[in-house]
Amino acid sequence: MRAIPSRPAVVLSLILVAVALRVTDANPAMAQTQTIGAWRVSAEPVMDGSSPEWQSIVPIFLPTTAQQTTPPMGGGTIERVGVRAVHWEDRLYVMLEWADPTPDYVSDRYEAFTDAAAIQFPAEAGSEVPFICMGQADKAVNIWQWRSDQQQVAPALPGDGYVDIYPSTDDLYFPARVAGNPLSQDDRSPVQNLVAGGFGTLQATGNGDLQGFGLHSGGRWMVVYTRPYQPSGDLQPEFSGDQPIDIAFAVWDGNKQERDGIKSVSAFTQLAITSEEPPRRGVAATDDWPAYAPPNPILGVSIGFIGVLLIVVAGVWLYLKPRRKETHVEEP
Amino acid sequence: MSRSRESLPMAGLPSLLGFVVLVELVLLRTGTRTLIHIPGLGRFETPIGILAEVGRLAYYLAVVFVVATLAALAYHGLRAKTRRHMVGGAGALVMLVASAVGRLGVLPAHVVGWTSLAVLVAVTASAWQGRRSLPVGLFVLGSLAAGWAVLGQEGGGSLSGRQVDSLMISAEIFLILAAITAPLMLRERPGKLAALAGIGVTMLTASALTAGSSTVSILVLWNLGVPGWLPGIGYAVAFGSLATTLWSALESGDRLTAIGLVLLVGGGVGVISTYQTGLVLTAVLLMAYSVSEEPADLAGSSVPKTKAFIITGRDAVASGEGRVPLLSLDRG
Repeated sequence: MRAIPSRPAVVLSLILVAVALRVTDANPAMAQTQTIGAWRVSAEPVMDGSSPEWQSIVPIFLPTTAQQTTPPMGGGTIERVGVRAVHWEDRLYVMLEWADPTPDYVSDRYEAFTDAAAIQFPAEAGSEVPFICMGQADKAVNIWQWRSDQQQVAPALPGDGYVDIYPSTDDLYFPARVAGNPLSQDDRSPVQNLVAGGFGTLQATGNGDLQGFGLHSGGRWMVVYTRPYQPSGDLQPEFSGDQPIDIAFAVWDGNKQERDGIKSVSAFTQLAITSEEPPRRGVAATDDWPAYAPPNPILGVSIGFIGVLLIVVAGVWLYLKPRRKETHVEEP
Repeated sequence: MSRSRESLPMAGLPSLLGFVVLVELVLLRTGTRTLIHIPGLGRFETPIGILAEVGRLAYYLAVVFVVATLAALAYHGLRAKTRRHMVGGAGALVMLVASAVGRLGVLPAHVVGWTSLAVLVAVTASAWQGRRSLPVGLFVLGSLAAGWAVLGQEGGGSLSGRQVDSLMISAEIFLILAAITAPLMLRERPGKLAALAGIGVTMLTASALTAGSSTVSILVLWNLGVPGWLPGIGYAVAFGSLATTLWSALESGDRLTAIGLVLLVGGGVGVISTYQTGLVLTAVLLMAYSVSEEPADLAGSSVPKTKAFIITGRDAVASGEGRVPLLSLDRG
């Protein structure tokens, strides 16, 4: 007779296997989320996301929702983003696109906020993704944030206009610049290179060769980011075709008072650098945008709440209603 | 021997799987994402870290248990003589092989994804048993729509943004309908306590939604794989219906249906990972066995019904056996 392993022995063996997998951080499951292909192109990509060479690439659409993890919470006014990526001469280009009928270029008042978009990578590619909101202590993240207000140039002065100038260029008069505020630097870029290892640890790091450019056209933003495969500093991932890297996105609609943690975020997905050429398509952008706009949630909840109440009352009434006694007729 | 509806040729594994999936879902996927809202998080960093680690271990346990459960289901399904059991066994085997091959990088993720969906549809169709299968059928339709939205953008697919929106909304509708119709899986009418539990959960969820509807969106996106665009009240009713079904199944001793529900919720409707798709497939198979009308269905029609060859842990303990076989194959 064949020996059958006892239940405790088999269960114990399975538990030991699971513990071993946990200790070695070897995840036997395979992610099936969308993989964004970073395709090979033969000419240097342009930074204009509305160009045919970008728009003809098949995009990957990712749903986004409000950030609900840490205050200030909220946002979620952007329902989804479209992502395309290519590489050229060991340089990665990522183009992010989303619908926003009201471009917000400036944040010159207390209540005015800029449109913005960010890409987040783990500082190091690994089998376990970091916490999506600013990473965690042992798994930092690298964030590329583009802001429309940082891309604008000062408008030309009218004929009778003048500019106040500080009499001195001494550091004493530029505390924000001295403190390292990236928004106060003379050579500031529309894209900030940020690193974080948990809430409250976000800090700017040297931009290196990170670049970005955004364009608003046809009721949507198109922002192109680019960086060489090799990072310029610590806590920034090195890109390679060897293994996919996790990637997540966030967008802010300044017109809807979104800023800071009030934003629309995607879940982590993966980006894979491939030697294949990009798949092209003939679908017009008008078939992609605008994204589906869900109904007013509060209105839906209110109407639904009343509906549920009615159903519950009806259900309870039917349940408690005395049943008619069944009559049984004996067959002769 | 009187028929035990929990009789499955693998005593204990489904229960263990259901338990660790519940722990993983509550601690890792939901707890660590909501505990962070507690003000003064720093003071609770250590206990939260411990909980998160327990959740991670539960995840690895769940992965190992789902593989073992699917392997057992494949083994017994392929040994059976009925078509639906053979299809179920073959489906479990194909799922295991595709996941393993995909994890090794031999098959691209989208091929594994399409394979998983094909297996789910085939197994569900072959196991169809009238109205009791309707909720699972609706759930699998949701998986098909959500999977199409994800996988249809890869491997040369070209869906427009609006097509993706339509598929994701369809997935949500099917998901909610599956949950609302879940009581159809029950053999007995829900009792008063089960009905009250459902009403309570519906009211609680609806109230929480009124306070902050976007919380549901992000939890639904991260846990179930759909963006949560539909009015949250639908989810409130769905959660209530699930609570009623779960309570009623546990009350009536229909453990396989209860475990199947937990696995469906843990697996989610979106195509996220082979682990989660494996949970859904396991749930479909367990629920198909749960609604079997004859004990022979579990093993094949060629087996004499008078000879009990399936021994559950409870049966074995009751009969005084010291060692409970995990897989009882003794056909006498």
